[in-house]
Amino acid sequence: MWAGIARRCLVSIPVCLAASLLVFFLLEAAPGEPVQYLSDPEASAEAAREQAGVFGYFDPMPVRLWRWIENTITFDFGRSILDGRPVRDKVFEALPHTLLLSGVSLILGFALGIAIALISAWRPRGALDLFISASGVAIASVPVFWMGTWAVAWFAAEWKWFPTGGDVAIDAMVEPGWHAADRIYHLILPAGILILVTSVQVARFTRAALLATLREEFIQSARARGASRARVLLGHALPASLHSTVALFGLSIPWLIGGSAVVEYIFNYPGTGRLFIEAMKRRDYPVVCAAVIMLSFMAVLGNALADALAIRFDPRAEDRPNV
Amino acid sequence: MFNFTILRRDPRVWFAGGVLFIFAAAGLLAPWIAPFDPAANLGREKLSLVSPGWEHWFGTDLESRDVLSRMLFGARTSLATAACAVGAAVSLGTLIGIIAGAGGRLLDRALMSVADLFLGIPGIVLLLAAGAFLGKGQWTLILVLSLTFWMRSARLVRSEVVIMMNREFVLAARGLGVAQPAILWRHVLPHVIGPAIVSATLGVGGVLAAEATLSFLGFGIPEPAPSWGRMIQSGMEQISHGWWVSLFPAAAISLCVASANLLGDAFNEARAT
Repeated sequence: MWAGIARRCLVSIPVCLAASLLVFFLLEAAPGEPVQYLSDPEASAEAAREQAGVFGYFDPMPVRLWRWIENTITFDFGRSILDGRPVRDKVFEALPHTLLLSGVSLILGFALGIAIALISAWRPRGALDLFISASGVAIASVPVFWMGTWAVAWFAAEWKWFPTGGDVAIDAMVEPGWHAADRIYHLILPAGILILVTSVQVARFTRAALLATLREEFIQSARARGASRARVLLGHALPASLHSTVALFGLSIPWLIGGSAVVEYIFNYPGTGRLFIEAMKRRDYPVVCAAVIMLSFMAVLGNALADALAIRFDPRAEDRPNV
Repeated sequence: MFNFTILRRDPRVWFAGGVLFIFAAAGLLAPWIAPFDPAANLGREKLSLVSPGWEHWFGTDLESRDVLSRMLFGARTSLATAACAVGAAVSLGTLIGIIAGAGGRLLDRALMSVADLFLGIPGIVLLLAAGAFLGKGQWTLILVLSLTFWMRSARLVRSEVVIMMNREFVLAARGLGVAQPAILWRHVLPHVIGPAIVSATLGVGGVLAAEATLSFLGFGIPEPAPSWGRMIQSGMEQISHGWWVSLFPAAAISLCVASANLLGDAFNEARAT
């Protein structure tokens, strides 16, 4: 088992490198002169070209490619065009915020999703189950950014139940006890949306797995031995169905990181996703490159961890190729 | 391909198919049924942000434009973009899936690793990065969307091809000396149309939502073409005193996404194997 887990983690290293190559070739394919983004917009064309020469823009492609790989490994993408701060600092400052937001949403989203699936499977095709399934379809079809903006408009701006954005209020920074509480207070809305969206997917998957398990013979024999409905569901069906939920874990990580980028942007939450979108809007390309690579690395590593978890839960997963 | 008896009895097919049909018809007929010019400022200052009523069913936006008319033309832009992107993505995915499934072990490994790589990167990140570096415009958007949505159909088609390649009729054709391209075209392709259709219907929802998200972030189809995503984005700024500007296009997107997903689920369950 440990060998399988180690192999999954090792495999993610070339995948990370390949992700970085993808970004490199996107940059290469970009039309126009990237020179214009790399220097002062008011500089003359000649000065811009000279500047570009310093950056090594006119070096042959393999040289640039090698430098790119070097930069990726050392995670050194130079300085932000906007404020001149090292890109690495900006990204690593934002990282813990994203990890907190997506970590909380992932764990609570899965917990809530499993709980909802259990309620659905209590009486399959019953009124409650149908209601839950229908609301699931409805919630899954509403764009995340739309939910986020309405939550800000009503819960925060109109009714003032929650802050409109940010990660912590300035006056809460000085008092240590209040500090943590205020951070949680700021997390409720953005995390709530991600939890809701995640739990819908998880509930759908887990319910299907539970219903499939409930048709098996060992469930029938448990019922025949007089096990209560709760005991059959929690003690027999759930453990046998959870492996498919765990398999969903890996698939939902890239998706969740993408979703949290949008949510971070709406709630002005200082994570990597917002950094990325803001940098895109202002054409701060060094930051864009670093953020794309960081977000992809997070997704790939999260995937590898989820695979490891899947092997822990279901040893059969070890022989299965990826996904 | 599909069990049509099951499909015909499925209420989801009728509901979702009907919704998508109505939206597509509305988009196609927009120039004839739209009550106002979608781009025209209806002039008078007092027509800015009129709430829904008899004159303007869905109200007007900040620039005094009729929301319903803009939505009808937006259906055109959004659905056409989604259809083109999904068509391109599923064709690409089917092609890659067939090559991977029939082209031998090495090619299979290589192509599926590329698919895994694309799947592993958060979709919105891939979309935004590609969009930023490749520039704006409707065709670029379609290209970028199709580049981020081909993986699932490739995987589905590939697993189907792998099964088909070992079925008796394919082995028999090979034994009779039929060339590989002919086997793939005549005997394998008809069997992968089912999974391709399933991934296409499920993909429509994803592409519509992605297009709206990109427009919301300011990287979608540029003005003046009215797209639903762009309408939501412009309505967001007046959300507290003009909820209708963004609510109706958002409802349209949600309804289409939900219908596409329901239809995809129904097709998936009715797949005859």
